[in-house]
Amino acid sequence: MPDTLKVQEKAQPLLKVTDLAVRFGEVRAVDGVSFTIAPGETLGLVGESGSGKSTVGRAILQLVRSSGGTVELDGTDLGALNGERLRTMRRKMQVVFQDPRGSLDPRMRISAILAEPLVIHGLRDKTAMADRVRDLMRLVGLHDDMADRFPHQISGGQAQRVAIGRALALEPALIVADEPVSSLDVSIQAQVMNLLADLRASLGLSMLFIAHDLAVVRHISDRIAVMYLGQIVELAPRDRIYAKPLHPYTRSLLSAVPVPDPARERARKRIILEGDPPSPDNPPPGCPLSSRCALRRELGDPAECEKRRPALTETALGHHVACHFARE
Amino acid sequence: MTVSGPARSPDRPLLHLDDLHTSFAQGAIVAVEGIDLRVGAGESVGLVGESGCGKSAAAKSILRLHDPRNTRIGPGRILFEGRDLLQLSDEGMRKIRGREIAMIFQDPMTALDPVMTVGDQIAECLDAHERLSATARKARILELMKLVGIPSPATRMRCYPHQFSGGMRQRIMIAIALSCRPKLILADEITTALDVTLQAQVLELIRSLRDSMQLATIMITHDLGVVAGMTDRVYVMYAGQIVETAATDDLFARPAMPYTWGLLRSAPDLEAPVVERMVPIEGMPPSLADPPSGCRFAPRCPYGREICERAAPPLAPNPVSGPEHAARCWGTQQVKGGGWLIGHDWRAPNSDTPTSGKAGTNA
Ligand SMILES: Nc1ncnc2c1ncn2[C@@H]1O[C@H](COP(=O)(O)OP(=O)(O)O)[C@@H](O)[C@H]1O
Ligand SMILES: Nc1ncnc2c1ncn2[C@@H]1O[C@H](COP(=O)(O)OP(=O)(O)O)[C@@H](O)[C@H]1O
Ligand code: SF4
Ligand SMILES: [Mg+2]
Ligand SMILES: [Mg+2]
Repeated sequence: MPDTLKVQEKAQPLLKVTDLAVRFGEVRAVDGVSFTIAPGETLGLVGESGSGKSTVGRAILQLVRSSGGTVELDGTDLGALNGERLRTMRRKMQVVFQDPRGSLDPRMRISAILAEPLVIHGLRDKTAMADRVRDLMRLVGLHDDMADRFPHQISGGQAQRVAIGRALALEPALIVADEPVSSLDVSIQAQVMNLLADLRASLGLSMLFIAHDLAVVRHISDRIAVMYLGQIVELAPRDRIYAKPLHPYTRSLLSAVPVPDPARERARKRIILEGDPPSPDNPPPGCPLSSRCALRRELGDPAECEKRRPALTETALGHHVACHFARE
Repeated sequence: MTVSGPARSPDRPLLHLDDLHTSFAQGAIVAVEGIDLRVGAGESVGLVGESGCGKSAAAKSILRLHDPRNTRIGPGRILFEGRDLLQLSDEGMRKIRGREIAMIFQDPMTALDPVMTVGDQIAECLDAHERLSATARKARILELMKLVGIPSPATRMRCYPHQFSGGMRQRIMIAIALSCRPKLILADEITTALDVTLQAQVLELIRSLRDSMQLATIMITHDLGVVAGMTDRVYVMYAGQIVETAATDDLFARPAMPYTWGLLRSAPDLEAPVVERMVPIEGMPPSLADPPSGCRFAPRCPYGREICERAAPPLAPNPVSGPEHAARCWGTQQVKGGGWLIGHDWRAPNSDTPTSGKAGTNA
């Protein structure tokens, strides 16, 4: 793991997000977020609903205006582009959303949905188009006889395959997958996750994979970033974050996921987070977790937590954590 | 805390669904087909399976919550403390709902009334069944809100549902369910829409209430993690039928049939090693308007043999674990052409060549 990590950090990142901030009025939806994604790498972005994950994704895709920071793709600052040059760069990034059916036009046949991005980007030749649509369908594991169906005539898992096929039509370098399997049964989730893992391997895709818990992203991510109230509180290589979580929020998230084994489940120690997450238009002063933090309680409520916001600091190779007191 | 050790299905259960059928659309969709399910007093039972398998249809039948115009409940019996609820008048059912059996749903926002204060909603069942003075009524509301962990109840009781977070709304639903002190709670995917941290809070709450109030619960869920931590016995449901039932410990230690194996293999386990590929159940559950004629799981089953497509297996005791553990699978039954899965270790690779290789259609 440390070796691959070095290679990834040396290579020029495909995506570089620096100090990104997005505000909606008083709401600081994203509050100083930085990370990189290397070519071929998958970064899992995890946090409770409302923590700002989708807004990070939308700011990267330039679908929402940021109030600070930069997003660079292949070394180009996207915020500085407009017109044709922005459109060209945007083609390299595609998105897959949570609600597979809601993201497909109900009046279009599957073949037309897959052809649409090709048409928009100027492909005119009928035979080339049909070939490409058939290739895409095979790529995402859809039978040829699905081409003439409408979205309501296919299952949720199949609809998500169509959405993935549409995202791949223009051969992007980066996929932003925003909770792509959250609305599917776990038995079906695994089908779609395997498809994404295969595509990543065969096409060399980079991925920002957004999820609301740590179970879904585990097998597919190279690194994991954990978000809380608009900030990244921990970022580490996958195997480290599950084996040695350092941030008290990550620890509670991990301990909250039930395991499918009665004996182990009974013996598990839960670190229950008290109450609800605070509202992002009125975050606590200092550390965003200070109002609910189990570690702080354990230490006798040190004032430091409410005074200063802890910076995201590297504590071991590639392992970053934002907490005044977190230690191995 | 859940009791460990073998949980026997109760001889004189609080609730007994006896060969229950529920169908929609003039019988064209049979969502519940001959279910036998028992819940003892104070017992916690899990009902687990993929979406569309009939779990909610079964639970709503118990309280007669379906639209009567397109729903037929029966044949079958719903015995509650020995009485068949299907024989009761609508008036008789009203006395059962909330007071004897209460139901909590996945989405509190659609179950709550948006223009009524939560205090009034918590008191609705009390108002219908008990004559309380204004002071006693308020005291009971505050007591219930405190019980489910809603901070500053005296001010919060005058708020409306949209002023609460998702986790708090689910607590309000629990307070409403508890208000008339029922003996049985039907909890239908109550934590599915919540974040894991809130799910942990709500499950902890249910656990403590259950112990202190001697409540029986049916936990309906598709999450085997929730089943593992919250139940004494489990019923696995597939395509309208119970396909396996056992004490929770026994089900996880010795699952008998391929559908349960599929659910277990695809359940995320944060403590297990990372794998390259996850193990899905191929395909998807059948439409209940036109289920397969043999074993309903056969089109997706990697272990199927010739007999599976020819005939529907009964729910029969599993020879390995004893009479309290039953499975609906020819592979576990000692009949001609069957029995090839008896004692099979589900973690071992499948050496069986599927004969019904139709699993190819992806979901
Ligand atoms: N278009 C918008 N207008 C106003 N507030 C928004 C908008 N989009 C998101 N928010 C707010 O920003 C915060 C982060 O939201 P989001 O990025 O959707 O979180 P997540 O994806 O982690 O659930 C939330 O408080 C949300 O209510
Ligand atoms: N009111 C209804 N009318 C027609 N079909 C219904 C109705 N309610 C449920 N169904 C069908 O019954 C089957 C079982 O549904 P449900 O009980 O909701 O499954 P589960 O709760 O296991 O996800 C599904 O195929 C569903 O479409
Ligand atoms: S009866 Fe046959 S098809 Fe059905 S679960 Fe058992 S082995 Fe599979
Ligand atoms: Mg989101
Ligand atoms: Mg349901």
